[in-house]
Amino acid sequence: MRAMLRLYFRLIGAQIRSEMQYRASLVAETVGAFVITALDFVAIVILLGRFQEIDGWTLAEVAFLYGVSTISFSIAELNAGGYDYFDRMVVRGDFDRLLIRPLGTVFQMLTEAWPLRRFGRLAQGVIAFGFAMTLLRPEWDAFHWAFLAITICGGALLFFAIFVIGSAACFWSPQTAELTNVFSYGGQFMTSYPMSIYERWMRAFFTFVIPMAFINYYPSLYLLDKPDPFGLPAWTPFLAPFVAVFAFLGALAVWRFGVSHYQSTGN
Amino acid sequence: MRVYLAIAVKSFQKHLTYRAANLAGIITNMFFGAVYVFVYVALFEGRTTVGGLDVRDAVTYVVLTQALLMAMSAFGNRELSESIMKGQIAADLSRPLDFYLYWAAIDLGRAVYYLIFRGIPTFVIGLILFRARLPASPNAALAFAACLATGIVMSYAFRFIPNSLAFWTTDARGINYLVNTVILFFSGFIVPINFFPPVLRGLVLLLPFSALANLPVNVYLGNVTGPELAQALAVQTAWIIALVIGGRALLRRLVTRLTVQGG
Repeated sequence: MRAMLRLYFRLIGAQIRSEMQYRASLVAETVGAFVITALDFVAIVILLGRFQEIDGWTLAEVAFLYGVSTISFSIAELNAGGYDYFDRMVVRGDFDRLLIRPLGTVFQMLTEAWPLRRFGRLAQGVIAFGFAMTLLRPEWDAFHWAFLAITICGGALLFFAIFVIGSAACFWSPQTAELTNVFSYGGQFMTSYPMSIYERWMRAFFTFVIPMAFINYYPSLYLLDKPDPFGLPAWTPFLAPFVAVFAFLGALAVWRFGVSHYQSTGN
Repeated sequence: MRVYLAIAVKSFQKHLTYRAANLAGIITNMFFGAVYVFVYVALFEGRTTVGGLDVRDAVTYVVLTQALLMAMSAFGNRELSESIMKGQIAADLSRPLDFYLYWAAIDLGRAVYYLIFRGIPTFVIGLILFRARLPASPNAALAFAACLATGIVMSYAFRFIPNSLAFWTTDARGINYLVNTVILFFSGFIVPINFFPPVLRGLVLLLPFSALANLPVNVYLGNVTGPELAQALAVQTAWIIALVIGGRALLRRLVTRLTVQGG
């Protein structure tokens, strides 16, 4: 285990050094990622500035949802960098390279890339979260902060699971890569607003099929001390870490199944 | 001219082959459209009109912009800068064709493809699922079509400039990425310009991007007619002329100092 961790940090270190080779490009892309995601937040500020509230949620509260969801998403995105081009890896037969090495494929995918430009989105999420906290000034104790940390990690784990499952689908059909965006980017976009605004089918989908509601909406209700419009049990927010771990293990199982079905493109 | 038409047709046909990808794209557009629709329906709760739009106008706005995203290349189009980065440009430049028009024809074929095969299905599904409005009047429908044409030309004329920066920096991806998002935002694809604060709105309408989404949609809804429409079209046309002249001047400069990558 210790050897694996050492190897992990060593490989990530190598990825960071390789990213640093194109410093100007890296700076431009990081700033770009920051501006682009900042415009998402500007959109929320413009809309809530004009309409004052959405289903009883103020700008600061929506900024909270958005910030938490964005931080989780960018952590997942940073670590799932290797999965970005997975469809091309399969098409080109590059995945063979991973199979002949004496390490697990998931471990290798984790260290395949570590795109530093994703810190742009992370920084943006942190700013949105800071903005929300400054306006809301909730009275939190240590438990709230710990629960926030767990919620963010749970969210990251769930988004990571979505990336893994989306990539695993490429073992069967590489053209489905774009559909994964609905669940990853679409999920992030959707969780920026309170779940209560969505129609039943969409809520059900993002509660039971992709359990996004558990890792963002319900914990936020608890953290912001807002009533649950759906009247679920009071312990629902605390399901977040369990749901996330469960989704992550499920994703790993799907991935293994996909790997066992992998047919190389051949030469 | 026949040559360029043939190029446009070829480009159109090339896109016809990606059926599964287009279907996935329609589903993606519908999903994001649905989220926006729910957001606007919730925002409009207890209000009648905001920024000159009522809730059904806002829903129509969402459906139309989702339908137009790809035709207007709102996410950018890397074909040109990739052709430069791969060195394909050497072959393109040696053709007995006008380089600017050659790429315009390719882009036109792509835009028409997306207008028909992405735009129409997305629009029809949106019309049925979310009860979007039909055009305000037959005249509005005609003016809408004229605005779409303006938008498609504007999109190409504008994008040509950041895309051709790939001549100078071998990695134009970062710049293009940034430019595309700015376009996406200021054309009204993310938030209707109608909801922008008045001062910002006035400024944005003077920029060249309104033709991509904000103008056609507001014309469709019957919010921009008569002299106001003429003025908006005049601003956008002036931009197109300036951008074409600028793009062509840039192209002349680049060709004289071109370094082709690869062997």
